Amino acid sequence: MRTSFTLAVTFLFTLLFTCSHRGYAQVAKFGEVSTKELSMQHYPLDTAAEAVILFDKAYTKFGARGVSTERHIRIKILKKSGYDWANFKVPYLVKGSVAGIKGYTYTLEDGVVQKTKLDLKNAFDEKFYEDWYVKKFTMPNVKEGSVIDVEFTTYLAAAFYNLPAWEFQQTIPTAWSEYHAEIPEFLTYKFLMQGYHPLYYSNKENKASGSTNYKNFQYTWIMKDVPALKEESFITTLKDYQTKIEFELQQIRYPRGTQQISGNWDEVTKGLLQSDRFGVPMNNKGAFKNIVVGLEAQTKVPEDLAEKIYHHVQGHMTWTKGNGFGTSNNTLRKAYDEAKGNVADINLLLVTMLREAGFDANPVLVSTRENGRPPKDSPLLSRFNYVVAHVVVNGKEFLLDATEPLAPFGMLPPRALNDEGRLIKKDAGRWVTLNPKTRSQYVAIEAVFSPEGSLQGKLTESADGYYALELRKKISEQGEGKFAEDLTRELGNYSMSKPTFENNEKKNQPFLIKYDIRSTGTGQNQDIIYFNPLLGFVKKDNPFKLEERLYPINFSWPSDETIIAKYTIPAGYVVEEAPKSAVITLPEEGGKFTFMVQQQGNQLQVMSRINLNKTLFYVEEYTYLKEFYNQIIAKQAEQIVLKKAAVN
Amino acid sequence: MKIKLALLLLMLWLTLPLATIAARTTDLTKGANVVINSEETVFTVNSPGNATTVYKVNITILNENGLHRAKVYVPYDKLSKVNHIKGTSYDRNGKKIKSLKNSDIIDISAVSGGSLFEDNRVKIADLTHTMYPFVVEFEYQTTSTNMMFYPRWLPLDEENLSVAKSVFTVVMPAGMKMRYREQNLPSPVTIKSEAGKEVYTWQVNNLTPFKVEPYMPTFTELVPVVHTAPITFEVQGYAGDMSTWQSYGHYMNKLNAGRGELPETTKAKLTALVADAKTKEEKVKRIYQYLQSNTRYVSIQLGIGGWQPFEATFVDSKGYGDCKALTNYTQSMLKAVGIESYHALIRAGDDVAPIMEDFPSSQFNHVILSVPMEQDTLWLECTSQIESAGYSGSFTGNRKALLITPDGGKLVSTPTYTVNENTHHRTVRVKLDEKGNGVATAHTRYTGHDHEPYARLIQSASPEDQRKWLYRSISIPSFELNKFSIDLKKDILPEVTEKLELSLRQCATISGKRMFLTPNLMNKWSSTPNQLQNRQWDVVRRKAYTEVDTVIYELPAGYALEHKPNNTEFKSDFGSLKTNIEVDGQQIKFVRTLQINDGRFKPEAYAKMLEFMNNIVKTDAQQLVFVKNIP
Repeated sequence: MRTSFTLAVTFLFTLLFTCSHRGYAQVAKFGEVSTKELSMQHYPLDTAAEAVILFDKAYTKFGARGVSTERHIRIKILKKSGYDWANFKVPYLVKGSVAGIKGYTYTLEDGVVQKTKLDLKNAFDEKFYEDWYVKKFTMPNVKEGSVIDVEFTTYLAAAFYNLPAWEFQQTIPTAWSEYHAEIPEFLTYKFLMQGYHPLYYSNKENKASGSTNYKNFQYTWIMKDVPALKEESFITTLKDYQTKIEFELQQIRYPRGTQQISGNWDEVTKGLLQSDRFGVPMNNKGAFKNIVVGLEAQTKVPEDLAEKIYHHVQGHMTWTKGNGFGTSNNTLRKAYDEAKGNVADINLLLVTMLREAGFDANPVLVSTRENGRPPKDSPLLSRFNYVVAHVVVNGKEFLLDATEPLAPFGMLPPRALNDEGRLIKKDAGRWVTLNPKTRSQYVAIEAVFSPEGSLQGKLTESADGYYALELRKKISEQGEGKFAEDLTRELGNYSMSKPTFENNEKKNQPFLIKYDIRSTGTGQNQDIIYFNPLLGFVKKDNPFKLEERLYPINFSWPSDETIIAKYTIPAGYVVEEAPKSAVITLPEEGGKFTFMVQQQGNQLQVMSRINLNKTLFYVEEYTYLKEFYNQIIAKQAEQIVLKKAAVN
Repeated sequence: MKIKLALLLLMLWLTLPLATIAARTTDLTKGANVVINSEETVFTVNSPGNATTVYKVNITILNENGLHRAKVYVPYDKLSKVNHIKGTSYDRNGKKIKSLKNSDIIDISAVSGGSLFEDNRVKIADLTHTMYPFVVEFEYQTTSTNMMFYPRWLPLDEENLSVAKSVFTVVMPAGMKMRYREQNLPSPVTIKSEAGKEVYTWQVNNLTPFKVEPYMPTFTELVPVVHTAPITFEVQGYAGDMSTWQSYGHYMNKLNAGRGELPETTKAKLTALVADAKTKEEKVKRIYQYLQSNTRYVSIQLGIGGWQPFEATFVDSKGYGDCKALTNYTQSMLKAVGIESYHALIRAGDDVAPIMEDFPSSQFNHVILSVPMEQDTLWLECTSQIESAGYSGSFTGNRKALLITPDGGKLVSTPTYTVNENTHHRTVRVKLDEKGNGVATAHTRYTGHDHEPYARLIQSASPEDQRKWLYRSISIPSFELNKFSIDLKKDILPEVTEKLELSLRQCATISGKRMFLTPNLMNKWSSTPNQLQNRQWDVVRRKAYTEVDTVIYELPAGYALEHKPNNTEFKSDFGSLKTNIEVDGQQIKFVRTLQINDGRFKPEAYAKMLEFMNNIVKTDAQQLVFVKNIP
């Protein structure tokens, strides 16, 4: 089964241009606001909506001033919480502009239509950053029930062939979204449609260009009743779920020939390897000979050597937080000497050093989780924003990222864990899965009950994978002293001593936190002792509470949370009641919860283990996941009852 | 000779970074990410309307947690400009790494997130380096014509920072005086006259890092600070005197003058609107209601350093404005129906330092409207579409405001909300079944501060988002929210009524023949602050409130009580907790009353507070145990 998302995409692609030529409702002219629009109290398809886009229509074409987009948008404000939809921020480039802004607010008051014109004297131009400006204006006299009608034209002179994307979906519902693009026949674009909502209408027809040399094609895409885009937990980025169409220039046909703009992966790979900011800097591996020789002197074991090179680069280089897959310095040696760089400087440097040591090492292009889905259907370099290293050691593959100072060999930082990356290797490029390590927490408790019913013992928490990374980061920010102090607590009936730490420096080993624990006065009946065997290390909250789920659940990593507790029962007491052992599984081995209770003499052992093996769960699996957690919470809350044995 | 001296100075300069890194071996590096080796701020007032600031700093950055200090942020706007920024970095051996180039300085808009338009911008110079420790030096000069604001000197401005030396100098021109307020300083100001100019100098040395503790007083109350303020000043042709609150008020009157006119049609509409209102209060409420339904808040910070409002006619025709503009508009509308009211400058926010009453100066960030009534005062928050007339709450309540009257400024107090006014009263009825699942109704009445999150939810969230918010904030491990309503009753002390219908999963835990029930269903405390070996600062509790939770359970038939926790009562200076459990056949009634006091307590009291809090955690975890009767 493929994800329902991919299904939607495929469905849309087949729909594109195959739709029968049915007529579509006409968008009203600017200023022609209907009584129906004015008197609307709520939007029938989403009665909770604070505002609704009645229609959003744009027409893009190529002209003397570059690419121009005429846009006409009409918004109905339904609630006070929707007032912000009357504030407009239109970004534009310094070489382009926003022109022809017109706007009116219409409000029905006591049966009379009040109409207020947007006064452009109250609009602002704000320099945003470098070449980008924002035109800002706000509509006058907006009240609950107002309809605002706005039109403007943006010119994108600086990026002639860069057709802007059209977003059919916003965070409020859109009743009608209509986009026209008039494209000269000598420009070939690939249309990249994403999202869950189907097209209502699409069309392609010939159009005179004003020149006798070529004609234009006029494309039309329309969607109707598009629901609001809603944020959910456990997703990569909301951008990935928004219904929109993007345009990728494939080729330009000139009278004398054709210029291929984007090609297949082989060509893209070739181009990258010849690029001054990607392939070329890696050619000068001799620049690192001395360093590699020095490391080779320390070990002859290939795995150890690869690890040493990784730790050397990781320790020596500081990541400037810059993303991208192109280097910032022309030579990697310069980056090395400055000891800092963006992710490409650091990881291409790592690849180069590994090659110098004789390893089969290559870069892997990645799109970070924040950046959105990697372009698996098309070799679109602009969709990548990150690069990591791939190395083969004794036939085993490893993915490395030396930007993360605390990650062990073979672990990618959380930001890079997004589906697959593209291995860039001459004639051997392919997609590689960006496999996350398991986030693992293992708690071991050993405690003895005194005859008075109080408890004393030791607790060791062992963190591995991404959990260890989290804790090591915290320690590096706060210092061990403060971190230990923060963990020292008296909580309810238990107190945890100031803990000690182990393996903070040994990154490839679990990080350990050790406490002494004891129970303070429980105020309980001494003949019967009730207690929760997991001492509060339980799930207190279901992460999936809502009834509905719109998007697949995308966890960053698989996880393992295990608690093993061993209790010595005081003399004279017997176990009167204990939870029953149980196993709960998710379909297709997606996850498993194991709960076990065993008694041997005066020893009582309890184990609780939650494994989530899969990282992607489809919407159809949401109810299972929710129920999985419900059952875990219920089981983990169960109690043990110890009772003083009757004296014969 | 002169050349030699210059050379010597140059050599000294070159070796300075080395020497300052050597200073690392003293205790200034302990607990520090950053050491300020030397810092100098010279604020030179050239005239009542113009001043220059020269700032120089030499900083050792010890590790990556101090890396943010390798950047310097220099804000500017229409009334101020940055003359230059220079900078150099040195490595641990004192060797120069680089000098700041223009391309290392970026210039971006510094408009805050919720704001539509401000002219605030910031230049950011970056000397980030990555081999620790390293030294950065910055020097910049700015000129300002917004003389409402004189600088504040705060040498120890964050945690994990120590200061070897910091000097603050104010130079006043002949014949002009300034005012200052010192706090936590080891030594006071020295004042010298130099060529007719008055030179004020403050200095601190060897300040060790500040340690933040939970529930401590405001940071700026505890560290060395010097506040400065003008006597006479001028901004864009508006001259004023800030030496008293009264004269400050006169200045604000000047800025507001002539901006309160309304069109005759609007005046007539308002007169008609209040024609049949019986009391003054009723009139004010109607005008406020008119404001709330006809305008909206849009943040546009422009004009005389952001302190001159748009004219009332602008708001009247456009239907929007910022806090000053909307306050000014409301004042004009009230005036049109014969009611006098005053602008009130305030430092708004949930957790802000109090106004320094003894030091008239620009300490405000917001404007509200104050309407004197026969007995009391009615406060109006003109930027809210939903606030009750007269309610100040946690945003503007319990603090001083500067009333701008025709006689000038006057500090007055806004309403305070006490432990009896910030409350929630909840009654929950739960019917449990054989498996421990339940259906429940929960009715809660929130007042005072406690009503605010819900009022905000009504104003700014769609019903769908309200539902999601409730799912997040109701603290029951697993449940379904079948139905809900949230209703606001506007009043001087507003009230929200929340009604929930819930299905509860495993509300009681069944283990074999026993049923365990934690009677506190949805208001459990489950964490305490960490313990501290040596508490240094006073303990400050800012919120006082009372919560009364009553939960009534109906059990399935056939269970007999085995264990019932004792009723508890804890009393301390920090508040009190009282619980009471009654079991009557199949019915259990649990009542929990928690009162949290505000106040300021000695550092030693911290342990007592933890003990009190942990008693709450313990009590909230208590369970009833029932055993199934085997027939």
